[in-house]
Amino acid sequence: MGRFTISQFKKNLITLFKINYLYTTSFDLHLSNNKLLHGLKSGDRVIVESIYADIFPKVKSWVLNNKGKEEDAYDIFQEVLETILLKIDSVHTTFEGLVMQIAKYKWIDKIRKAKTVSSNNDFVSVKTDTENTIDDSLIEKERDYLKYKLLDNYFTQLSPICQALMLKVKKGMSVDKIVYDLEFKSANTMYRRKAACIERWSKLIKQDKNYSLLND
Amino acid sequence: MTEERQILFEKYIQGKLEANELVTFNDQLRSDASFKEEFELYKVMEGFVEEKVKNEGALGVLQKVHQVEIKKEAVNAKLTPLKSFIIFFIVLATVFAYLKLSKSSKQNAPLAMTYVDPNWPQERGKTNDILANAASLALNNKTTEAISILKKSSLSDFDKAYWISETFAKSNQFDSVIIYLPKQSLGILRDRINYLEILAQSRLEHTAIVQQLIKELPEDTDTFYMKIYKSNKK
Repeated sequence: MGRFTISQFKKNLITLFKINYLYTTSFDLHLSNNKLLHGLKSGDRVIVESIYADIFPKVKSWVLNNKGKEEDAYDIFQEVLETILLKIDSVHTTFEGLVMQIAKYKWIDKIRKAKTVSSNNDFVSVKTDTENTIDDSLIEKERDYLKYKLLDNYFTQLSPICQALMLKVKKGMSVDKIVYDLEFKSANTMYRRKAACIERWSKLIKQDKNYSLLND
Repeated sequence: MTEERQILFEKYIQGKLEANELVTFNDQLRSDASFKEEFELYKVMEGFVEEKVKNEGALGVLQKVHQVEIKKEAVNAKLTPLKSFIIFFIVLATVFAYLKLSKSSKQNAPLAMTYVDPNWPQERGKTNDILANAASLALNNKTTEAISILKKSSLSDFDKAYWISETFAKSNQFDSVIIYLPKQSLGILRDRINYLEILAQSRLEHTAIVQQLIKELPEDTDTFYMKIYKSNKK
């Protein structure tokens, strides 16, 4: 009987902690936009999942109402979160408002580029409304993000060794460690390989039709 | 972008160029458009790798959550309300059928029977012949020796098969009972052989076979055995 009581007590205590954690997390999430931003930028999985749960349905609904499909909504939402993670350092509006603003801008930009529904009247009015309300600084951030994506697109086309090599060098890892980890014959081989990787990467970037974007 | 240029750009960025090298570098930057373009690109690439390293963990988490959410959506999309209802209905029907079947088989199937000894030769006063020796070994759990004696004996094939089956039944080796049991049950041993077969199938949990065998029993089956079959039904 004694053991049962202790085990029950433990169970109740754990349940209490869980409820308290969920309550405080949810409470904080709805209050602190900066906490959401910080959670996203620091890779806090719980917060990223909460952002998906709370905000994605709204983005999805907007995209579906504006000639988009479900997969478009997922792509746009992922890009929005990447843009915020990489390019935005503070939130001056609500986090949700920020996401919606960037999502709308991205979607309109995508459609404009695809030139599929540009003659649609509804779309024109949405486009005008959105473009009138979006913050100039966000447009700048979006351009920075597109530059990042252009570089990333070709970086990921390099061999895994090239990618790992450049990241390890940038992390400041010692030459000996890199040579050992990536099984190069010598430091010289490593340097030559790195130069070859950069050369290959730069060639790929220069071939892109949007290469000039990098010089803006 | 040659290796030499990369080294030059790197030295410039790290402030490692000598004064005269720096002057040459700046001159080239002003006069050579392709040199300038390559330098700008090199800086952008370096900045990208730095940003990638800085955000590696967070981008990884974002990517993982994104993939999980897409998978969830794919599962949800497959489960339309109609499909969900059909799956629910099939599961329900399966559970219902299983419960019904297990209930009816419990009602009809005889319980696992217990072995009832025959009149062993000793009990009939025969103690010296081969059969009596074999039976004696069987009753003392020396099954292998008993079977060996029976196989070597001059008994008729039918008697050999019957007593081997009986010996195996005594030692609960019901697979062997079925193998050795005489196929044609004659005369006084008919009911005993039928009993051994039903007993063995019952102990091997072949419920349907047991039910069939009981159904096919001759009408004049000894009441002793009929009572056993009845008492083993629920």
